[in-house]
Amino acid sequence: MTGMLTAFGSFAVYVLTHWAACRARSWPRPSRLLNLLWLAFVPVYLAGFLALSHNYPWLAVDLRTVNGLINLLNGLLIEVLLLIGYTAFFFLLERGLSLRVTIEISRAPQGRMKLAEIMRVYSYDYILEKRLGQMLTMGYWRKDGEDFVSTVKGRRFAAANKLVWKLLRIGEE
Amino acid sequence: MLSGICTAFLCLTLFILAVVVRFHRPPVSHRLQTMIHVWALLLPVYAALYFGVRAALPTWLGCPVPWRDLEGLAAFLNGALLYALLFLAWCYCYFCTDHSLSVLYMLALEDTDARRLSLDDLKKAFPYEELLRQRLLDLQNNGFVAVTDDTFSLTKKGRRNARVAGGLKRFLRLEPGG
Repeated sequence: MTGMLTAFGSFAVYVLTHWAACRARSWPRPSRLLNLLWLAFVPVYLAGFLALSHNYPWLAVDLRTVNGLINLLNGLLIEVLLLIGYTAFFFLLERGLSLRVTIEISRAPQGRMKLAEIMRVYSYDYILEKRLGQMLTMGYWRKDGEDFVSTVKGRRFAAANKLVWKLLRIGEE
Repeated sequence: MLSGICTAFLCLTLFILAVVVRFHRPPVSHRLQTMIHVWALLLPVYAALYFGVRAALPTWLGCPVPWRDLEGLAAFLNGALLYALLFLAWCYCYFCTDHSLSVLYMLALEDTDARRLSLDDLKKAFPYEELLRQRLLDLQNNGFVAVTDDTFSLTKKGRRNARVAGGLKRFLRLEPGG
């Protein structure tokens, strides 16, 4: 139980730290901040685990035993899964196309918009610039003159996605 | 504790197999709802498998039965929590593949003969109007948006969603985003 409790405590501190960092300044690349905090919170989890184990007899764990190590790794797994869930939630907020559309409609005069109006306030160039910029930065694509060309990493990623599409019949209905 | 962890991963494997089989039997009206149903249907399987795995593990690795003490109950619930979190992680990966525009563009590029695309080619391959119409249709089918005379407005559910998400975006300084 020590691992589980530490994971929840550490995750709560992670979310608060991330919110504080977002409030402090605007981050041009929010994924970098998320990744940095992810790494920073592995030692935070370990320190929290040891502190709980040391200070509360009912949560004491002997890390020299297999069960003690399982307890530690179980908490780490929970922490990683919580962070994945939070990352999903964060990118839904930051990058979600449908969400942005609903927010634009809600802020329009009388809360109504035509398709052309949505296209004007939320331009395709803005959408493409963000996505293509990210793919170039992450090394999936590179520029060759005016064209975009995929890198080895990009081809592998596309092949993996194609396999998932085929396996789950995405886009076939 | 190990019995809960192993059972959670076993259930995730069963879940993925069940989802693959279900998606190969069209029609699938609402994919997320289908996945939630499959996940929920496997919850009793988790409970049954938990005791099987627990019995199969050596006693020194096992843990008390859930109703004996707090440690036993925590180990059982820990596995169930892991199964829930693994489902969330799966959903994240699934929707990254299914809904991501970046993935769509990457697949389109790989499908071209020359394996290269210009910005104009991309715009032609995925016209904005069509793309936006499809998203608005999704929003309409999920009860977030209503359409009257080609004008889009939000339903009560859509307004609540936009208020909460818009507030959070403003709070986290993520505007305009998207």
